[in-house]
Amino acid sequence: MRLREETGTSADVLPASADFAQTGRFGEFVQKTCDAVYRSLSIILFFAIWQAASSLEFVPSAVIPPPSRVASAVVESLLEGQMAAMLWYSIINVALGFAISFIICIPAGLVIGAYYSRFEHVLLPFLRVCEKLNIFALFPVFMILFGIGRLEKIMVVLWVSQWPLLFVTIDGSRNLDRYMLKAARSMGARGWKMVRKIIIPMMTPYIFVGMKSSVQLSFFMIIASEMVGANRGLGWLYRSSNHAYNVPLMYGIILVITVLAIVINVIFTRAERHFLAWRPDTFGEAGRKRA
Amino acid sequence: MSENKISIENACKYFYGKERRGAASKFVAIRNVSLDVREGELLSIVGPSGCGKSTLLDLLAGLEPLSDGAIYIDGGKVTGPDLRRGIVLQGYALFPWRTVRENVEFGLEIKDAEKKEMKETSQHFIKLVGLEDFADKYPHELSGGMRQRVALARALAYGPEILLMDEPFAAVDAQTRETLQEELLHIWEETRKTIIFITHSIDEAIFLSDRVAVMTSSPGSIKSILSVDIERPRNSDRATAEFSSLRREIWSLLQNDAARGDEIEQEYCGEKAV
Ligand SMILES: Nc1ncnc2c1ncn2[C@@H]1O[C@H](COP(=O)(O)OP(=O)(O)OP(=O)(O)O)[C@@H](O)[C@H]1O
Ligand SMILES: [Mg+2]
Repeated sequence: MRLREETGTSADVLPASADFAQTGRFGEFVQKTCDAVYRSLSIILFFAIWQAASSLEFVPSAVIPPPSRVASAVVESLLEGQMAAMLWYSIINVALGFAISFIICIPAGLVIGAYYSRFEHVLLPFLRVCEKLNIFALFPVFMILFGIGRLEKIMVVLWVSQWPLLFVTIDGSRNLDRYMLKAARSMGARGWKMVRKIIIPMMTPYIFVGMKSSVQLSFFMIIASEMVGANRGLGWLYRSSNHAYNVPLMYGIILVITVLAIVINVIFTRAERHFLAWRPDTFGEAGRKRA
Repeated sequence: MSENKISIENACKYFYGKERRGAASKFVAIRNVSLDVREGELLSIVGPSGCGKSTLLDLLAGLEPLSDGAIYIDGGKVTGPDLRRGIVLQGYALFPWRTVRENVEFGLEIKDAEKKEMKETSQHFIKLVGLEDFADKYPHELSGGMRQRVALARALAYGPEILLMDEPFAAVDAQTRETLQEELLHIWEETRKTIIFITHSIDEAIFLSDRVAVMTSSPGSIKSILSVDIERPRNSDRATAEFSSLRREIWSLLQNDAARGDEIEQEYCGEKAV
């Protein structure tokens, strides 16, 4: 961002662009809207085809209702207050579970990473096995242990979100740049100051990667677990609309979940841009990792 | 003894490798290094790659414990890092999440200096190394030579009496290098710090130093110490007769060590480390 601002001196080079600037807000708005439309062209097209196919009965509209009916089902549910309440319930459970997992996993990962050779053969194989346990098979176990309800859902989130956080933190804490540590030590940094001023900033990129996959996985799994057994939440709402043959609402919830995932992604990207502004290629790097 | 700022007595450093097939390996990085450095002196160390120069600097900074021998600074034994010594590490080791200014302020921050003092000091040293216009940039936005200057300013900012520099000018082009050398001399003359300067460039060593210590190849020890009695300010064309003869002398010291080095078996007890 910064770099672009400073190198973007094109206004001096191209006098023509000054005219553009004078067309002002409106011109900019049109430009931006066009951009947005262009970028979401495939999505718009998808919905248009769906709408046409379903309302012209190319596909049976009882099974695949047109998006207009899906949208009105969502709006209806929102107005009733049910959708919002269920959405909120799921979000709060994810937030609580994730927060607890964050508070546990970051320090634990730092310690395990710092004394890796000691934990390597004792603790890590066990953790790896735990991570590999099939979470769907574990849902009933959690229900028996904690009873269906908020506690159980939080525990599910805690369970699934801890692995990416933990392993990524261990990885980061093993890969600390020892020259930077040396430099910091030579300037008298020790103990808590070392952790706060050097180790945590050094780990931030890793923690971000872990957080992102953690939160995404958490939402994925909480909805799955709400579908298996719950009396509230977005997954439960999906399940009950299924039972009530409210097909439009089912599709509506799928869309809501998708939008939620997109929103989370945007929030993380923004946060990354803010906290990792110092990185030369925050986005290049993240892109490569995802690929 | 007492007029020596730094006094290294029979310093040895061994590295112990991981145990393999039962035998722990011991690698001698430097052996019986003895060296005295006077207050306000600029001493260079040259030696073949891997001979233990950086290791010696770590010992001086107190970043690594000695395996044997001792190092005294102002008569007091070195036991750990402290702010009387500033070190510029090989490769600079700037903190990429901190701007130039924040990097320079690091040592002061650790000392819990006041905000105002911190600001003034960092400003002073950023100016000293000529980076006023880049104070709010991040390291990745700087050129190699600029990063080098930041590392120097960072080490100077908390006011160490001794400056330890590990091949600080290695990664810049010849012209920038000469500029940086001149700047270093300027800073040295202004602050009168005791400087130990590691380099691979014989010319650089002669141009900068009061004395040049030549190390043997691994395991490193001091082979010879030469005084550079060329009057300052020194001619930057570096072509005088004195300059040439010193250059030849150091060259041959390094040269015949390299030839001999092939035949000397490295001193290992057990297996070779890594
Ligand atoms: N932490 C360590 N563990 C094991 N061996 C080490 C360690 N640090 C350095 N060594 C070894 O000690 C020897 C000296 O290393 P050092 O970095 O001091 O060399 P140097 O003279 O600075 O070389 P260069 O000129 O290439 O920088 C090398 O053989 C290196 O492998
Ligand atoms: Mg070195």
